[in-house]
Amino acid sequence: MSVVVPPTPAAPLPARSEARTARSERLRLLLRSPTVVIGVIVMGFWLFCAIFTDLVTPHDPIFDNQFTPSESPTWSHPFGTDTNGRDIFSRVLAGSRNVLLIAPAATLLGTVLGTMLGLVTGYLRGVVDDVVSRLVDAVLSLPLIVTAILIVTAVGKSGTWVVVLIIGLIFTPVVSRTVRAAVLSETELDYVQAARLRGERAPYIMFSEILPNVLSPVVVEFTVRLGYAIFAVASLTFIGFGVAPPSPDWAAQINQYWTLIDPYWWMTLFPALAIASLVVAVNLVADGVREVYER
Amino acid sequence: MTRFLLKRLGLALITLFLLSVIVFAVSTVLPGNVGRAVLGPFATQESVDALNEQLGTNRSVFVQYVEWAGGLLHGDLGTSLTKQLPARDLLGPALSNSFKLAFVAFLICVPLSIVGGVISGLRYGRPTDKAITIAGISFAAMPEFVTGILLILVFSIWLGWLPVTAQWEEGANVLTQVKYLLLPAMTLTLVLFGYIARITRAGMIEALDSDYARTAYLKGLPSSVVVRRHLLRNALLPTIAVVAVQIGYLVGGLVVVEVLFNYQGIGLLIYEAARQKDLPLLTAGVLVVGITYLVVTLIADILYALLNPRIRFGTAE
Repeated sequence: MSVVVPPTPAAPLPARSEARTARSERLRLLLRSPTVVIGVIVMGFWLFCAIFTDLVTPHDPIFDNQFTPSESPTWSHPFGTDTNGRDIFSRVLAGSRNVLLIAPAATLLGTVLGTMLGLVTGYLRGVVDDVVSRLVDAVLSLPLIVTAILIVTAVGKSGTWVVVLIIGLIFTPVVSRTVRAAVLSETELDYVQAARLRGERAPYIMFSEILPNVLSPVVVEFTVRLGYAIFAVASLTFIGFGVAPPSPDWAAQINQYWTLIDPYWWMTLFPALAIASLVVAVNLVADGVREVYER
Repeated sequence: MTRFLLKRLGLALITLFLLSVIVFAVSTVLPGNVGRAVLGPFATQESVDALNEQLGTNRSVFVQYVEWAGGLLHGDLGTSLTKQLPARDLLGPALSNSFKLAFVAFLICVPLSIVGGVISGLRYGRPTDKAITIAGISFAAMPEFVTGILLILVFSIWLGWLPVTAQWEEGANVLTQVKYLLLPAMTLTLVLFGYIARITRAGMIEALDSDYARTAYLKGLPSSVVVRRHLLRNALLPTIAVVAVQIGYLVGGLVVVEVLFNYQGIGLLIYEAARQKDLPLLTAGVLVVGITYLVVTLIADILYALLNPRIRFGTAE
């Protein structure tokens, strides 16, 4: 008995340009939202400071005893100086570096691993899915910061890449859960059935057929996770389980000086405001992205 | 309903078992040599061996897990290395302190967020809604230590209204305790507000869009009655689910808030255990946090099922 194989549409051009139109439409919608634009500007500012640190800082952010220590804000030192005689304005401008390296790297790691895990569990289902889902539940019953503290203590060291790895690994189950849900509804659709009937292998179907169609939730998940990553990196550094002084990292500065908050409030306030501006900016953008992609 | 309960309970038990395996694996297998990890690179080999002997970490991993898990089932959470006390005796009071703080935080947070979400939903798309939503997102995004520090600066140092730490003197009355707990609770409230308000807002918008809401309005009921009798009942259902999830988050937030305000709860205990490389106490603390989360979400799920007729009568999973 011969089976009539329906002609498979080989990635028709109209579909591709349609995708492009959808993309530019989304971009247009994103840039129409004032909160997203403000968020992008603030993020861009800190990114610029992180890349061109030497250009933007009026004084060296790391060397001790350059000025009179513990001076409150003045015209020459708008954010004051710290107990080590450094210009806090320069340190705040230089302080975005760590977090803007660690947070995106960790988010990328978590998103890539989580997407892969979500594709596999959502497509294969069965025992693999059940086991992984229960493991994910177990991992997610611990708050991120608690898991991170436990791992850092067990490993016995911390630092940039340890933090990237830990946060990336903790994000993996979270992302995988979202992707899995999207994959589950995709596998019901005709194109997946068609690919199966054509005799395509599972990896091809997962990565070439399904993945392009679940990219929207992946993008949304990435932007939302980025906000959480900054949150997590900063919190870990604040309690002393992340990067350590003399790095001009904002949270590390707060870790070092917050016990002196009375009367040296400026040593803590300005780094705190810097973190606040960055996380709020990232989350405003993430919120805009989610709204545009989920409409 | 019974089937739902049994299924939910079974899942919780499996998750609990896996949680214990993961926590055990991280704290025992990951360090390689536990004695060395605790004592550091400069300790003598003899003292490392002695500690490994005392902790029993020189035996096979499987035997260790069975013994540890067996102890757990009998309520033995292990012994703190630095304080030489059963972990249970340290974790009990710490947990009850944390509950006290969480309770005050929820007392402020839940009504405030629901009112915020309802107003936001009723004024959907208008400036009030935008303002509440943006404020919610912003505060939810800020790490607790940032919000906490800003609150300390304003309310303790500049205005001088509230104490900087959450350490009251022994035997202080409830009112004084609440005064000391107010700043940490407000810190947690600001972070949680956005999440709860957002879900309530979404529930309100959906309810407003429904036929029953239109009917209620069209038959001439005053707005306040429609909101109270018809909208809130439906809009609050998803809120309950999200509140429960946030309790889990709250425990994580507690670590930072308790360190910042020097409050003797489970978060500070975990932090100190980690700082002093007291692995048995840390492991027990982390496990207790996980169990707390599982129990709270279980209770919330059951509550949700009881309130939701679709699950109560078994027409939906």
